[in-house]
Amino acid sequence: MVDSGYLRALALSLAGWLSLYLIFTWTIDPYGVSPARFSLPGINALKPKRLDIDRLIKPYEVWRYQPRTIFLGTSRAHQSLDPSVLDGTRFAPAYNASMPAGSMEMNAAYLRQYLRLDPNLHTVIVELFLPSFIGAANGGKTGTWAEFATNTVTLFASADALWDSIATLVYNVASGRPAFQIEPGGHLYRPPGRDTQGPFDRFASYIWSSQVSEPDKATFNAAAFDAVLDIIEVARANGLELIFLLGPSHGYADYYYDSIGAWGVIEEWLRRLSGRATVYSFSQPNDRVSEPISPRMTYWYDTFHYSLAMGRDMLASLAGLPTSGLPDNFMERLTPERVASYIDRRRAAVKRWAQANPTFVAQFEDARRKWLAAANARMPN
Amino acid sequence: MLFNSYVFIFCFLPVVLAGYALLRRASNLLWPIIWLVLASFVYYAWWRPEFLLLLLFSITVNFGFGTLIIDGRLSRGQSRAVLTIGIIFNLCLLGFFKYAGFFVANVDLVFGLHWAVPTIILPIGISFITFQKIAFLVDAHRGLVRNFTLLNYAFFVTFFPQLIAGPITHHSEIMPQIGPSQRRDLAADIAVGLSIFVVGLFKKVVVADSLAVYADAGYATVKTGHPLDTASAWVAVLSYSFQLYYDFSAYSDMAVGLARMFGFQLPVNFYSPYKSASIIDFWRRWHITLSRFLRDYLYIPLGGNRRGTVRRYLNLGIVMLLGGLWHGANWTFVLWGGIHGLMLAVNHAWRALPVSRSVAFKTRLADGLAIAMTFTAVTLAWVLFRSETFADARTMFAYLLPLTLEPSGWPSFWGLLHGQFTDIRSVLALTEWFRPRELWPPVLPPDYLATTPRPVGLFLLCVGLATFSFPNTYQIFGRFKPALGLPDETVANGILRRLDWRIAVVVAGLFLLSVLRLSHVSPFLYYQF
Repeated sequence: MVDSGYLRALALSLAGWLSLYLIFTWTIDPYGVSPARFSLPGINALKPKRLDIDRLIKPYEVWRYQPRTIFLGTSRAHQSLDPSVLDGTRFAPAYNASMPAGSMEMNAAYLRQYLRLDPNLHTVIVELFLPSFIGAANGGKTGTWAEFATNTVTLFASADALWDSIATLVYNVASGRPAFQIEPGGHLYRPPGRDTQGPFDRFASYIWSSQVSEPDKATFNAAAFDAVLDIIEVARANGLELIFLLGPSHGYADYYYDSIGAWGVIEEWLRRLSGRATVYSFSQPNDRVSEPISPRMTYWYDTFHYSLAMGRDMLASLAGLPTSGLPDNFMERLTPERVASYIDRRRAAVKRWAQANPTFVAQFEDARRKWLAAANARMPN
Repeated sequence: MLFNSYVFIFCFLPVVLAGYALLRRASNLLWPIIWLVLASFVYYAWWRPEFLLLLLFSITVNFGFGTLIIDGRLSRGQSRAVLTIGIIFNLCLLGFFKYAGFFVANVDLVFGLHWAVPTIILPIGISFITFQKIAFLVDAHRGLVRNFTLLNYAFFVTFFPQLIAGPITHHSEIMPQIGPSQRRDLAADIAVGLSIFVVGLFKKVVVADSLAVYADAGYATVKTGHPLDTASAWVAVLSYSFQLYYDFSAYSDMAVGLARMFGFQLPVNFYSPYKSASIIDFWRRWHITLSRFLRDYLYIPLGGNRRGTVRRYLNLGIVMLLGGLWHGANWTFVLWGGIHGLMLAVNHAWRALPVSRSVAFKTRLADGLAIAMTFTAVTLAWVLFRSETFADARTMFAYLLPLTLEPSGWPSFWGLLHGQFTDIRSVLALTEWFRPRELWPPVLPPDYLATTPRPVGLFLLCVGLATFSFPNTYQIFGRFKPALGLPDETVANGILRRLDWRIAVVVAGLFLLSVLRLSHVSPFLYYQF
């Protein structure tokens, strides 16, 4: 027996459930994308689920916010460049669209997508990360409108959104502690109090562990450089201002580049790049770059990731905003003529740094020997 | 086009239903059937349009064979010859598309001929379609076919609810329904069919797809040569066992529900197989129409059980080996079928013993143990079914059965228990709960599946309890006669007496959850390690 009004009841029930779903998820708004934008302390102000979903939300937010400036790059830019620093400057409004573990090929692909999504785009600031140029190719493809639509629908109408809304509500009610989350500007918020010394202590074993795919010998990643040329061409064709930022590099990382013989490769692509585009470097040896290791550091989160404080000074320097206490050589524009001396200074600095840190050097070389032995054992006869 | 896709649910199905409802008002009763046939062509062509040509060619040729056989002008011997040619034609099509690469690879392996293994794309549903057409030709030869026209035949073969993955129907099951289907209460059929479809959709996207994450991660870990601890191996194997169960159950429900929306009943294909107390019973509940096909068109023609015990077991073995091969062109499927054949033979041998009829084996405890044994045997056999090579299967079996007290052995179950059920802080934090993530096996530690994705232990427990204690879809909707071939008591004692607003609220909730589950927020994996 089927009630005559069953199908009508089914439709009405569906409408009712859908309404409840939308009211709940758009109010709690676990991903911070709701048009409603309620921020209710103890209910939804903290958004621990707005994390690790950069590839979903960033294209959507570029489309939604229509920024004038976007940042492209890796987790370094993601964690350290707060676009609100540029408020009131010619770059505003800015948005940090960088992707953790992003490659140059991915940057090129995302730039093409952002150009379609944001007609207001005027300036692109691209972070350079040295391992992107000395490793293997890491492809990227331009997102389609269908993917963009699917991802956007997913953020608003999915079972994950429902579950994450519940999780967000419970977290706000039960915990209330600040959580890692992507800020509205696209950069990562890190709750204070994380130990910074740990990652430095583990660097040698980490960089030579089997899970890290960095090479033991540097080679020129032609695909990455082609992607850079692609970015330059896309920017030129669309009348965009393009700025490349070479972020700070700590002594630990520079020692690694030195140990795999990367300076020649780095010099080559910096010379080629600086001849074609604007490149600013923040990795000149100075007291900020080589901040002493401690559990609470001001300018570093770990060996590769510099802090928001460092990023704030970088953006302020770039935008010509007032700063205080910066080293004289904090920001340096690279040109083809200056690249060789720039590399020489870094090489000399890392030699001095290694002499001053013999314990690290011993740990590093020991880990490297073990890694090489294991790699040789895996080689087919 | 998948049943569990936006395009099917929100575009294809509404359009086809609306067109069908309109055409039912026409005076010519052929129009609704023509509409369904055309819709089925679109459905089949959605993935690769070129395969529609293959389907049309196959339908035309088989219609020709059928016409020759049914026409009545052939002698019995001539009819048998046409039947034989027809069967060979269909098997050749199946053999070319499904087994050519397998055959070449094995010949190359044995004789070292260095042949290039051809890459042939398998037309979707060809295994089911082939069996259905063979069954039709045999039925035609046996004089069981009525109302044979090209349109009816095309409808019988292509009716989209059963086109891709069964159930494998007989011509005699569908044809008598064509006329009456036009006179049925369409709204009531849509109500019943839609409700059953939603139950299937929920099983597929909420249950089966959630389990798939863990099963895939476990088997991929083995494939990439990384270790698993014992508990994680069991998580992977049980996840796959239940995934397959709910996937097939879901598909069967959706097929039955869809057919019912158009006023048709398909034969029951899946009837709580994990509640079986024996392997014999299992094959009477799992993929029922395949078992029926193998019995009627292979086992019985081979002699069945009429030629002595040894021949009977031999026939069983042949049937199950071929049944295994039908599932896929890989020796793992053949061995899986062989193991089931062996288990069936042992089961029949046991039943032949007088002691098996003892009252000691009629108790609820014995029944429960038999169900547990059957489930365990079937689940372990699925390891072969899921593994891509014998080596992978052997490795997984080794992880399942450790003879060690090292942390990766038996003690790993403590990690599973602790990780799933006793970490209260994780429950409060809700960091991982009921959030299956795509896992990247090469970088996962051996105990990852057992200890880190918190839902899996509780989820498996809930799924297991539901599987063994909940009524199946037919027991719930039995009074609405959802399928052909249901037990009388299922029809008479169906739990739902009427579909009213309360059921509508539940079904609508299940539908919304299922549709929401069709898309995923997939957090970036980089941060998991």
